Amino acid sequence: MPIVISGTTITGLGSGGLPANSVGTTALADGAVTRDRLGAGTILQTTYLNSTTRTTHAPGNTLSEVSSSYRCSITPLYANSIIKITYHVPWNMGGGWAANYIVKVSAKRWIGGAGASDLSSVGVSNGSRWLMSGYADRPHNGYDANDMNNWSWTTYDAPNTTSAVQYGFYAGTEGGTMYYGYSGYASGGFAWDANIVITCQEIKQ
Amino acid sequence: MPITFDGTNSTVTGGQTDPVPSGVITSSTLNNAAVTRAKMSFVAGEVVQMQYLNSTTRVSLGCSNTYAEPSSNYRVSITPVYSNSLMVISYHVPISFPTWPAPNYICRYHAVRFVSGTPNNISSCGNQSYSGATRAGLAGFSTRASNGFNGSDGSNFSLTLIDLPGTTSAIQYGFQVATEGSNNQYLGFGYSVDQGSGNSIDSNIIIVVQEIKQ
Repeated sequence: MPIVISGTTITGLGSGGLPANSVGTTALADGAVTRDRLGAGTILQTTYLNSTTRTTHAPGNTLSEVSSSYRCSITPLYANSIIKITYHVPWNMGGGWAANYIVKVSAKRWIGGAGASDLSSVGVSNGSRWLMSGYADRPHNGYDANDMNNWSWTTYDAPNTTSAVQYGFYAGTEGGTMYYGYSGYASGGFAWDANIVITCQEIKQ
Repeated sequence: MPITFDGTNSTVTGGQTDPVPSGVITSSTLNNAAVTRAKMSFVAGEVVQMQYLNSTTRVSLGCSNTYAEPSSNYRVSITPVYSNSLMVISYHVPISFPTWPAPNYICRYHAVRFVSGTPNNISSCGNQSYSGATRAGLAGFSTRASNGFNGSDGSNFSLTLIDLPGTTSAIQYGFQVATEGSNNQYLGFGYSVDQGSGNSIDSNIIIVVQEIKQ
């Protein structure tokens, strides 16, 4: 039986046809699945830093940036996105450290030309404790200038912007010099050289 | 004027210019509204796929200062869709030091990419000859046992690295280890070799890899 469309009526249809408005220009537009159609929790983009910069840092007992080369940039597509950040930061104490020195690291963000700011995952005010998005460590048994310590952690942020954001970190010690990306010793069988790697993933909300 | 679809002779009559060109709506394009990878148009930065390993394999390896793989079961496989994709690889490798001969022995961990079974350095590996020196290029890190360690202690290699494998062939991501000294320094992977002290552990080896469109 023929199907006839006349004015606002359709005749001759059997059961199982497409409901009205189910095939519209939006649904058919090139078959594209655009970001606006993706649900909450979708990973929208990933950026990374794979740095070959090698540097030393002697900040004393305060937190400061090791190098602006250790920043990973991302420009959020949505202002309400969250950003998942992973850090792999190998470093060495370079010798000359007391065995019980404490070292600290904390993630930081930069937006535009403004100075460093804390992430949404920074600690809350709790007495005189350092507020951090990171952690602390000490030298290990028998440490020397060949040893590698490694800042390796995952954190998150809600930067609330669609402007370019950079994620890096601050570090501090009770004393001594830290070597980033390489060991202070250049031989001895356990000297090493390793890249600083930071990744950022934007998650839709 | 009415539009008439007549299935008996495959004709459409009475229409104006067809707003939907022939062949646009097919069983493939409407296939249960499924969004398949073939229909996706990935832009740079998007996740194309993710693979993982959740290994219950437990081995102890007699290590030396030459890199060795604890087990080929500790590899996650992925076949990149695009040859220029970025791989983000995350490792969680719980270990123990059951027969460490000295508390200051170094243990070194190195992430590698296997191509047809052969290990290769990944893109985030350091430079073997940095500053003309003899520093070993690493994609990973090294550690020592912690204070007061024994065969029940658990330690952990946990890190996230990147790679640009430059292929659409199947590859695997795993790791190798080396220790100080030339004799067998045993490491337990996924478990503490000693047990029964109340602090022994058993924990899976997990590796996750994400392919990111570039």
